[in-house]
Amino acid sequence: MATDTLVDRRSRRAPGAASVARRTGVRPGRLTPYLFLAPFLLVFGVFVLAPAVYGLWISLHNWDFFLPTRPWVGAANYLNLFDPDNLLAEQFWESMLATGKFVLFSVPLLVILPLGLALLLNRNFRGRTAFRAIYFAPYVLGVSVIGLLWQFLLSSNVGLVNYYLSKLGLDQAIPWLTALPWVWISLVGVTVWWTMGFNSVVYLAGLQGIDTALYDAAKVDGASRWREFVHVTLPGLRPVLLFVVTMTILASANMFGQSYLLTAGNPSNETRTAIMFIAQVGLEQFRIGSAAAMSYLLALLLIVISAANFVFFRTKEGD
Amino acid sequence: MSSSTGKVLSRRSLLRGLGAASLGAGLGGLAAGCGRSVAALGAPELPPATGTYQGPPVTLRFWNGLTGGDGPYMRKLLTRFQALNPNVTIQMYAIPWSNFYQKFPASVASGLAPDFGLMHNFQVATNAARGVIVPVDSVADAVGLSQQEYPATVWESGLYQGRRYSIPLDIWPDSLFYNRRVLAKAGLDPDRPPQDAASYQAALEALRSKNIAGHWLASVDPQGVGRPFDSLLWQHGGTHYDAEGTTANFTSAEAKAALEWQVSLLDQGFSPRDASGSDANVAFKNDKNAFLWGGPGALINDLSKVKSLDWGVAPLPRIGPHRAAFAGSHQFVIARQKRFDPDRVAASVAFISWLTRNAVGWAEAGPIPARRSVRQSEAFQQLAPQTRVARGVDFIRFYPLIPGIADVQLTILYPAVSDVLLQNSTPERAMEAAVAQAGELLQENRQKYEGSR
Amino acid sequence: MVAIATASRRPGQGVAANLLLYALLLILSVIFIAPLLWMLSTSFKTAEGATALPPRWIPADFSVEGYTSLFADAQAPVLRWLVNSVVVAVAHTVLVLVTAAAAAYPLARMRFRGKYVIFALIVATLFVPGFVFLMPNYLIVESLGWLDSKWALIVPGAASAFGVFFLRQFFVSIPAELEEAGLIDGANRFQIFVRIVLPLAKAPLATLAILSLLGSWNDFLWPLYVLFNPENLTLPAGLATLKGAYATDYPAIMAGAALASVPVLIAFALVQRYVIAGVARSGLKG
Repeated sequence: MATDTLVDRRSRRAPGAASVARRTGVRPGRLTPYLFLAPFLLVFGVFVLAPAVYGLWISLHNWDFFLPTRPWVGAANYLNLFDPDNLLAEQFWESMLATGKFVLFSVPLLVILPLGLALLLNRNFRGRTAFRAIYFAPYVLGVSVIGLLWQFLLSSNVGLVNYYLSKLGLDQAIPWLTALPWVWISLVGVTVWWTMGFNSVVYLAGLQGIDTALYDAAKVDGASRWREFVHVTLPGLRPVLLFVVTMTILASANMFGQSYLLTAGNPSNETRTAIMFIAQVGLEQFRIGSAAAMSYLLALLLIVISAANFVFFRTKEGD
Repeated sequence: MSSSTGKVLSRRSLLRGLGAASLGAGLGGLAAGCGRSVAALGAPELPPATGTYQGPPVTLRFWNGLTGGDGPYMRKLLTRFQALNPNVTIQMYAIPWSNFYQKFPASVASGLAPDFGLMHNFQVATNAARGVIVPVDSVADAVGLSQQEYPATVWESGLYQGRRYSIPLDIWPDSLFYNRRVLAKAGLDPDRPPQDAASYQAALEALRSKNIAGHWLASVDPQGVGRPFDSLLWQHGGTHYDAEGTTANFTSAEAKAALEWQVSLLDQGFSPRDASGSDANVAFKNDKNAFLWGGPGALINDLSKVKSLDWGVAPLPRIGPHRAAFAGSHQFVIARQKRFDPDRVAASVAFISWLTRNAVGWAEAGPIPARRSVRQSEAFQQLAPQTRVARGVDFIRFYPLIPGIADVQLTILYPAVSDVLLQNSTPERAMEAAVAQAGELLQENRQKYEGSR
Repeated sequence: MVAIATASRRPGQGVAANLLLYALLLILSVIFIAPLLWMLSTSFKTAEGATALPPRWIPADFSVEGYTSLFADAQAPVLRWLVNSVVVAVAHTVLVLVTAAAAAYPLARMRFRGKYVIFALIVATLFVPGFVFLMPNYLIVESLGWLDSKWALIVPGAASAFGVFFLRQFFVSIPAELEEAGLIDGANRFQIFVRIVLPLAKAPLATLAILSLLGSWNDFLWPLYVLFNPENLTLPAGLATLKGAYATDYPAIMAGAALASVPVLIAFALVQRYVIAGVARSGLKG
């Protein structure tokens, strides 16, 4: 059952296509498919496959840019990360915790709020396209513009945000970019503001793909709006939801620019994310072997999470 | 995307695919895996240079981190030099210091190195140990440098393992910048900023009685947090590390006193909590803050730009029993090349030599010239704020000359101080942890940098 | 068509509900637009005016200081960064489209040895987060001599496993009869690909193009580390340097941000339908 996948179904159909070719007598040359594939495979080989293994190789060495020798250290770079007395391990797990927090705080919001927005937009009214474009606009500006802009808006003494909060009667200036827990609220909030439009648009496409007959049927049954949402909309959105959840987890786990620009990892490394730390160790301190080991560990974790996520949605589907 | 990809995979094809992946990548890895070591880059000895240049036209590349208000001053000096030496063209690339120490070594390793650059004094030993920069003893001779010309701290800061690796250009001692209008508002004499612990305390109390937080203490960003701590530690007679540079003294009585004083600013309401360096800066410019502790290179220009501001500068007040102030210095270094072109080296040396003698033009940007003769020149005496900063030159302190020291200060000590000021940790707990971490990093650095020689 | 159908499902929707909807959408729009307006407004203030409270949305001290100091600054060639970003994004996208489409075609429509191995290999990398390649690719780019050049930004990310997978799904669905017609006319596989298959794939190609453009445009970490010369920077990496350089000189910083945003927003406004349609399709199967 599990192996009855698209590939198998498709490959069953493939002989038909081939027989067409045979019938018309224009069999593609033996090399043709490889020629088509060559440009892609060249780039893929050099910049995806090779580094995947080369990185593993590096991670097994004490690979410092500025050392004359790069001795083989076996799994030491990995084992060090589990040594509680090791400084690097301490800092690495601190950064993993930062990434974990960001994923935990941001993903639910980035999954739920855009869905709400998409439901609002999924109606027929004047100006729909314009609103959709407005909500999407921040995304095209890129993280650096967003970072510079919000660094100013969230500044605790000259920022617009604190000014308007003080107008609302809040007399204490909130240290948005300097103190806990505000730094997390800022980073998550800015990320939501920045990327919400993207997820909304993906949802919107999913919503428009749901068979309207299902809604009509629900209406005939006298279903409430909520029941309609739970029994028609959500199941219809399942593939899109899986896509959004998976993508958002990966994107949040990759978070770098926001904390680089807004908090610079402060206060005291609280918002230094794993990616930021890996880049610092590898490309600023040039301890490339350790950095490679850390990135493999993080990747492994993410692959496991993605797989779990996938299994979760698959079992739901089976219900 | 994986939503749909999962369905496409059959187990068998996935397994086959992974097998091929490792094979293909293994080959690719061998082909691509020729990362080089800097140490293998060749002769570190510079060809001789005289301090003048008469050779054929050359175009030099000069890297530094002068991305702020100081950049234009350096460019002006380049223009002047090029007018005098039409055969030399200098392209200046300013890269933010925070990225500079990643890019500079990386460029040397990959053969993209500039001809020369500016570096902070506390990065010279590190990069010398890495083999990224080359000894410049011959340059020092050509330029006619002598120990008498420099304060001892500055002179020694360019030495690593008995050889000179850098030519000091300037000094920037942390100083007391004060807002004259705010002082006057609290009934204080704007011409006599406090210079000792008691008068500083009195001034802050007077300001507080007018509801002014007088000393906004940066608690967040490592640079802003750490340098005042360093100054205070030295003022109390402490040192950061033992003489061999193997253990940290962050739990010493002196360190404790330094931290206590910083915390007291917060406790007594002289500073708001959770402030960042830029908060303090903006508050100062808006007449809401009386004192800033900072370097002249960053602040003289920055404050001058705000026309409505009435400010002054003096050496740091003496809070502890001694006078001391954190200071840094920009120093010229020559990047290691695979092969040195004698003409380019000669032209680089000619520029460095010219600039250290004409450093007054550079002092306009804020920093104090490193050479005594320039500091005593008529032209320098015209620069009012700079001359007042220069009064503190006798008390300057630099980080110790240990390779990798900036990493220890910036990634371990300063965040720990920050933790205390932000009340995330008690002073004891934060400093004990920092001592352990610093010890480990110092040990690691020792092995790394000394093992690589 | 679909939109009308779903919208008409609630004929009982009252005027009040519609007003509420508009009110909600307008409030949201303010949240999305106001920060951008503030950026523009600040960019036309003096350094003092920018931090003055209460804030003024219309600058009282209208000034182009922010722009002039930025343009006078040899270290912040914002327009150069903009051009670099455009060149890199376009070149990258073209490379993605060409390589992915050419690779997806045989994987969808031909039988050959190693097909499933290659396809599975490509699909497997979809699960691997990109940062894994950061260290090794830095070393590879370094040994190719591509550090500090546009090649480092254009090529390494161009092998889009997602692109191949996505286009293959579409190519598989093309009826065999169309290709057959081409074969009868004596066209070779390359001609069929270019003349018949690609024109049919405009929509998925556009989606891939949009996603590649956005991806390259937003890329921040990689250019930050592989580019050295300030003149070679892309917009994201370049703008990040303004923060340190201008500290609290907000008009100059906001001028830089505005210079980076306005052309992009105008371009987006012109093609927003295609961008949004492209992104919308990315979440749908095939």
